[in-house]
Amino acid sequence: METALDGSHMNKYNNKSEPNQLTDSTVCVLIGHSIEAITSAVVLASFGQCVHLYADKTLLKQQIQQYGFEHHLQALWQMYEQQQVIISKELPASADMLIKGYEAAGHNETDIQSTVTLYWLFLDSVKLAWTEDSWITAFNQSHQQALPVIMSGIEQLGHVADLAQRLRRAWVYYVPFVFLQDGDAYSSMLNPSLWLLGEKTASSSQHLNVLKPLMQHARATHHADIATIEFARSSIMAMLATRVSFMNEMSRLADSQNVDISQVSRIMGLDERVGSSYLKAGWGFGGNTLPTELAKLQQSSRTHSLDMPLLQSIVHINEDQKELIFRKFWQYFDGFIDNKTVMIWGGSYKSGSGRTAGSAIHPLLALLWSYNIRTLVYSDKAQHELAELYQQQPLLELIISPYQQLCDTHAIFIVSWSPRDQLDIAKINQQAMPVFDAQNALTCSQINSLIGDYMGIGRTK
Amino acid sequence: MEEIKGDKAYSSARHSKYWQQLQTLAKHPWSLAQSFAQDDKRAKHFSVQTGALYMDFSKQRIDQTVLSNLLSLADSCELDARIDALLQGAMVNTSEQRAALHTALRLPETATLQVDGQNIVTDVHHSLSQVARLSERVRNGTWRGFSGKAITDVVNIGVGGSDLGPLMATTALDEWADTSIEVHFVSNMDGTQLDNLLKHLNPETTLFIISSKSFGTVDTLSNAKTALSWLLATAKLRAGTEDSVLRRHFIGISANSEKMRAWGIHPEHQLQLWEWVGGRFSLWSAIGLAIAIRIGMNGFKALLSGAHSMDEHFAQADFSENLPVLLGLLAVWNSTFLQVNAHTVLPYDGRLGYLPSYLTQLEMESNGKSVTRNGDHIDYDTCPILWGEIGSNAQHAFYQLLHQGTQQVSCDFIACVRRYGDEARNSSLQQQHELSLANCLAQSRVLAFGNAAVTDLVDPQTVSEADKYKYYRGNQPSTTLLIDELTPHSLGALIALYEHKVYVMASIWDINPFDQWGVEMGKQMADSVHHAMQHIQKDAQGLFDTSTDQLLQRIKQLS
Repeated sequence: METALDGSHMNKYNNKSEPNQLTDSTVCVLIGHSIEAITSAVVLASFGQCVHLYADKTLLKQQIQQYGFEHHLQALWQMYEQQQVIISKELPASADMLIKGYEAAGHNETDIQSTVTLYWLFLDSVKLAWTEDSWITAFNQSHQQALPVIMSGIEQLGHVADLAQRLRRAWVYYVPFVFLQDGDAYSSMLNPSLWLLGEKTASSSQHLNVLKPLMQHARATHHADIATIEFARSSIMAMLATRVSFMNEMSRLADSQNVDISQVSRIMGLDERVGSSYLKAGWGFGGNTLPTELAKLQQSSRTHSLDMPLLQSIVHINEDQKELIFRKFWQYFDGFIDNKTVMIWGGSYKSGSGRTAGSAIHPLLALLWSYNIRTLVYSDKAQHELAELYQQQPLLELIISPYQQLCDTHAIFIVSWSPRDQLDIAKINQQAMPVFDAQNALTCSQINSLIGDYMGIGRTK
Repeated sequence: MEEIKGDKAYSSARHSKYWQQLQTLAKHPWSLAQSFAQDDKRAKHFSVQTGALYMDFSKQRIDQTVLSNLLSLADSCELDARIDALLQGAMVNTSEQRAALHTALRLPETATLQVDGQNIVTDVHHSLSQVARLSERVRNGTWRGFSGKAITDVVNIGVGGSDLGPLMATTALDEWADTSIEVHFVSNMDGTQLDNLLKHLNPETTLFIISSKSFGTVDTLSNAKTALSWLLATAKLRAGTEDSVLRRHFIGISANSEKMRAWGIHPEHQLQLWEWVGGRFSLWSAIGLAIAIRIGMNGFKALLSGAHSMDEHFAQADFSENLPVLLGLLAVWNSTFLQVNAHTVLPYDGRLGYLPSYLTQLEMESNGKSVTRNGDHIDYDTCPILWGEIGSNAQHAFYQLLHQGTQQVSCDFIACVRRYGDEARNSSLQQQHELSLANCLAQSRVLAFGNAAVTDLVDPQTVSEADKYKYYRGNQPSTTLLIDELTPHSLGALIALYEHKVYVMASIWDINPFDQWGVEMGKQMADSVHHAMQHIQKDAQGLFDTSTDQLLQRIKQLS
């Protein structure tokens, strides 16, 4: 993958000289502290754009720390901050103050005349600071109605389209981050798998010149009205969630049929009509995007008094799936699990990420602790987040090696194990303990090499 | 057990002069319409309040003289000493030689009550902590079925007091339920309820509470046996063992731990009752586990606290302002002196739908007696026939009899003043509540005053002979209880009010309200008939009476 550390992207996309040599710069004004906002700032900077990122600085700092596992993004962020290509600023009390600051003649903290190229609002962050009425009024009172405004975020269906209509200006856009991948945020935005653009005014994407490289590099693009793009975003995410829950439901049948669901997934993927993505059975889906998306869809269905039983089932299966591995553990010991010690490998909601939101580790830990079970957790990327969350929990011990204290444990749980990390089966075999693999992380040959028992999701030894 | 006072030493109300005076007063032709006409402050004179309960008994056929005599009657039988005896753990259940300490079940943890040299409050709170522990494990999903799934449904199997109390309270307080776990109740011996219920439940996620003080009640054990078979049928398909099913799906509540153990209840899942808790007074004990599961332990404790506040009122308030004492005395006045031998309970609130059934058992099983505590035959009427229904439903069922039948019936109207306070989204519910309250007040008024209650609609003087079927005679006595708001606390106070009412009546009648010998013989006879049904030839005769023999033969021929 290309890296921007050597400035290659800047050379590629930047029409101007070095950003810190700008005398009459144009700036992209981003408002938000989310990972989407941070990634956008870095990507725009790598295109040679000067970025002013307005955010609650405390939240921004926390977010950057939490995404420490995004090494590439972090390195670029630091570099662009040092070069003052990205300038993070404290979010003012009102949108009005922010806009007027740019519109006032001669305003510039760095003594450089700044001309705004676009405003990009990350709605999750914006709503924490400003009311919708206030920021819409501020933008509508702006003298620069020709400037484009982009919005991003997961909202209830039609809400972004509604906001766009309330804005007076014509050049209003919606960019959903359907392409963003945790653990690979920068690259997944730089070369988006799918670029969707919602336009308030049809065929007006030429007003977003600064984003042209993204559109050019996207593997697929589509522009449509904002409401359609919102609906498409939700539908894509719901479909992915559906596939996961479907496979998880099938995995329960596979359990009773002594069939390995992982093999079934691979075979299914060979059928072009099905495709291979999101077919892996495991503990379900977590993170922020899919759960938020499903919650918003359910909210929309309630608003319109529509019954959506499939959506309900997807959510129900997913929640239930998160404790399925615990039930296998329970059944294995016939419920006599009090006071045991177990090892857990991984804690993030997917391998490669350091985030644990929606991860199966949370319900698993809660259940284990309710039986006074000592839990040794190895999770290199999510270690920090788990330590923060559960610092008062005496039954939790975060360890720095997966094989540390293995001899003290009665079972191993696998929640999120990176395929890049090699499992040392020999070390597991020294104890011959049962392995409860919630991620179906082990290969068939690894399973066969185990001396102890193996319980996966839809697969057993 | 240390007696507060020897039981036989209590004076008898029956032989006091007030009894005779009340008999004389009862012959007076009472007219409620006249009573109200003569005293424009009658409602004020005949109403009392404690906590969230307000009681208007001005529509009873009494005046100050009657009330004064009733209060004196209470004094004549040393009611204050009897109340002390009850609350202090004296042996008030004379036939079974034990105390009746349901009030101890709701004493605060800081209280002490020495019985047989032991502070039973410690035992009570130990038991409550077990209820808290088990209910919390079920509620928070820690309790798992044999397959490791969390519990979604709890089935309380019990009968009588082990059923009616928790059923009534969980129904009344369902608005306080803060869990998705459903609680169901099964009591019928014939299996109808269980059969209907099991069709909708998942054996992996269903927990059964087997409640039986003796753990020998055939109704309960037959249901429990069916439940176990149902669980095992599924468990065996999933490699679940009988031991696992018994351990993960049954909680036992009984005074007989040996029988619980023999049945297969795991020791950690046994909750103890005490012999001094009568079944119909037991919802405050571990029998209330189903309530704790549904509304949480804090809600259950609020229920106990409400009952305790009524206990304190009962113990401390002057009889003239003492709700349970007044309610009990009025019941005695109606039944024993006015020969009003039917009583109906009419809650104008769907949440209290099971209260009439609960009170039917509480009053009729307690006071349906005809001998004194000394075994002497009683020559006066004791407990009336009691039944009831949600008031607005009853209006379309048996109110016809109340208004125009030949029977005299006393009524308790019960209504909650505030409801749907938080439900601004649906003002029509508020309007329904108002309509219900209006009906409650209207019915008590028509029952009291008959046609005179609606003189603007019907002039009683002008009802012609031909229209006599339109005539409402009125003069039916009633009491109206208004509850500020139905909460766990106020419900606790309401139930305790009726418990103490029962004790007051029993004290005046000098009967033991804590035994129930009248239900024993039927159980024994059922054993004999059941044995005959299983082991005797089809044409066997001379086993029982000819009627029973004949019915038995027909059953055996057809089955």
